[in-house]
Amino acid sequence: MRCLLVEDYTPLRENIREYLTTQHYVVDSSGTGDEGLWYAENHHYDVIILDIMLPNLNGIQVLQALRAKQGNNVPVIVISAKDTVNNRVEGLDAGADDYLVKPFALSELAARVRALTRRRYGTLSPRIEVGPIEINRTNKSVRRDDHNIQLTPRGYALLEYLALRSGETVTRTEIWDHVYEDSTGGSSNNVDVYIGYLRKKLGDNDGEPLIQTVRGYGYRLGPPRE
Amino acid sequence: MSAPSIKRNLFLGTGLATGVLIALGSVLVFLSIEGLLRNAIEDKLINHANLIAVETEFEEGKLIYDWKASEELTTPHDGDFYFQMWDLTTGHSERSRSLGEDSLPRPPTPKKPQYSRLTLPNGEPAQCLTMTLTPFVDEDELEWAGEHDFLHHPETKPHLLFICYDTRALDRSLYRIRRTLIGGGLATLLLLGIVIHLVIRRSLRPLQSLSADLSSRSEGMIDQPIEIPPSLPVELRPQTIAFNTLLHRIFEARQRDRDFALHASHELRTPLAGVQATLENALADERSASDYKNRIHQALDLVIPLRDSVSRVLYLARIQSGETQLHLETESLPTLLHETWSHHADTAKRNSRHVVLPPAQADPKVTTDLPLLRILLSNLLDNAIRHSPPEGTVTITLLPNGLRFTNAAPGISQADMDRAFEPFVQLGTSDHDPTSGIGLPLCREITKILRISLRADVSDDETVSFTLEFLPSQGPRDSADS
Repeated sequence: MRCLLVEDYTPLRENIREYLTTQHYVVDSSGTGDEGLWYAENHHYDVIILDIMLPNLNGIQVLQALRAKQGNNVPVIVISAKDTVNNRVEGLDAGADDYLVKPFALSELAARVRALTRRRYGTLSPRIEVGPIEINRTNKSVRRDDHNIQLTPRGYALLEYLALRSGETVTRTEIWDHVYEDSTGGSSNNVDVYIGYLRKKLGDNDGEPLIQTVRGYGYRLGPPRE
Repeated sequence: MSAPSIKRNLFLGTGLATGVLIALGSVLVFLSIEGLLRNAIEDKLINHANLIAVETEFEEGKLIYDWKASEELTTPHDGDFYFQMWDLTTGHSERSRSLGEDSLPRPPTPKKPQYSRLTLPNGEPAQCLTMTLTPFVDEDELEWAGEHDFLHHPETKPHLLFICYDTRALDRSLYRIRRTLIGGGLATLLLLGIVIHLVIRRSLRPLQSLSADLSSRSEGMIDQPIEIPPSLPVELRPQTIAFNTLLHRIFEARQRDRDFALHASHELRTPLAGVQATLENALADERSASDYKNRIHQALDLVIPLRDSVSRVLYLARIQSGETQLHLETESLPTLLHETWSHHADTAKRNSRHVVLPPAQADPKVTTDLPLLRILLSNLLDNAIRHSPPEGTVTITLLPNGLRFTNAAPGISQADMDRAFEPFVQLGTSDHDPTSGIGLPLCREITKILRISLRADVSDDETVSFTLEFLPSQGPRDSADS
């Protein structure tokens, strides 16, 4: 999952970024409103975490510019020190999907990020089951046939993304955009290497592979969706 | 002593005035009636006296009191009239039959007819007339005198007539009139009192409505303006409008306090979130002792400016509430500036900002509250360093009576500068800093107290300047008038 974090207070920005990274998210961060808007308009994010009081362009203006763009429905969590009902209403009316008042627990922010990404991909439960594989998004654990499978953070992020879009064919570019930190340019070889790693960890090589290669497009987890 | 009461004053005032008017009116009416009635009696007295005078006459040269015979025959001489006549030459007196054996007191001889009152011998009140007269000589007597060659000298027989009219009936009538007037006056006064009371109560009802409106207000409505209904009397409108103006001022003051508390709260929440996030991250994983130590240091680094921020917020609040006491001292302004710079040199160096200071010299000297001035200089210097770009230069120029801080600040407009002194305004591209939101508002408050002029300008080449000038004619104000 790729997140954009726009927060001008450096210590908070760095700590949120670090925490989400440990939660297997790929995090891009920015300290100003105009730069944050540029990131949001030029990359694909699963969720955006946006402060309100930002230099150059405030969070509400960023949100309005983002929502004014056709088809941009990326979930946005507003984080703000402003806590009045009017402030919340203004944020939500501007297009935010959630509003979190500072100071907040990082675990709560992560839970809200998970909830928004579940909604984005149409899975309401924190557990995703695809065939014999069960992914618990809360504690980031993966099991197959009652056996725990240990994955690297990137391996988990890749599997989670494929599982959220199970039955769909996911292109290498999409995988790159949502799972890799450097989203400015992708290498299909890197994606293929990680798919190979994942197949090995999941025991896909022993029988019918769970991760199907769709030649010329990308990969698909599970049987195709009708 | 009881408090003054509009209702009581109006009631007593109008009641007293009305009472006096009714009493005066009644007295005037009574006196007019009494005058008319007594005039009628006086007319009766003079008519009766004339009749008596005519019937005191000479017959064949002898003085005859003919009225005595006439008194027996005609009723008008009887009844309520009592009179007595004295021959002023002999002292002999004749009296009316109504007096019986009683006599009237002899009055002094008047030069012209005189009216008076007395109590008759029978104890009844009477109105009297005293006059002198000479016996009458009619045509028959003149004829007789001619025939007998007799010469009459009536002036040698002057008489004094004292005639009284029994006014018992008149006094009874006057008593009834007086009683009617007093009773009527009191009844009128009572009726008017009730009417006045009702009118006053009705007139004061809008005041009671206003009072009820104000006392029934909830805590949140205390500073809301009073609604002025069309039925509000014009006399109450100026007071209500003035009160609403006062309420508006209270509302603005409360709003400022609320905004200040809100802004302060907002401003402190972000660094608090930073501290919380740092500590949460520290506990999120098993770490080495040095890693824990580093993260605790990071949290501490966030707490120190947070503590300074709280101190400044409190300081600003104290200045605004007038609690701060001023202590005046004299010091060289360049010396103070260099002293302040020493606290910012490391920050400027770490952030690659250059600062050009005027030479340290003795003049100009300023007499002011030095701790406050140090805070002012420190905030302006901090502000200039923070808003100048990396490798930018802050130039501080010495003016004859102040200082000017100049630095490049790309992206900051005059509109930004106009808002720069509002609390917690984030200007331009500066990174968020817990102290950034209140530095300039604090400066503005300090300059108000120290009576220093502070101006912020932006030039076309994206250079901002803050000009500080001491006003020579005015010293710092007392904190009490802040």
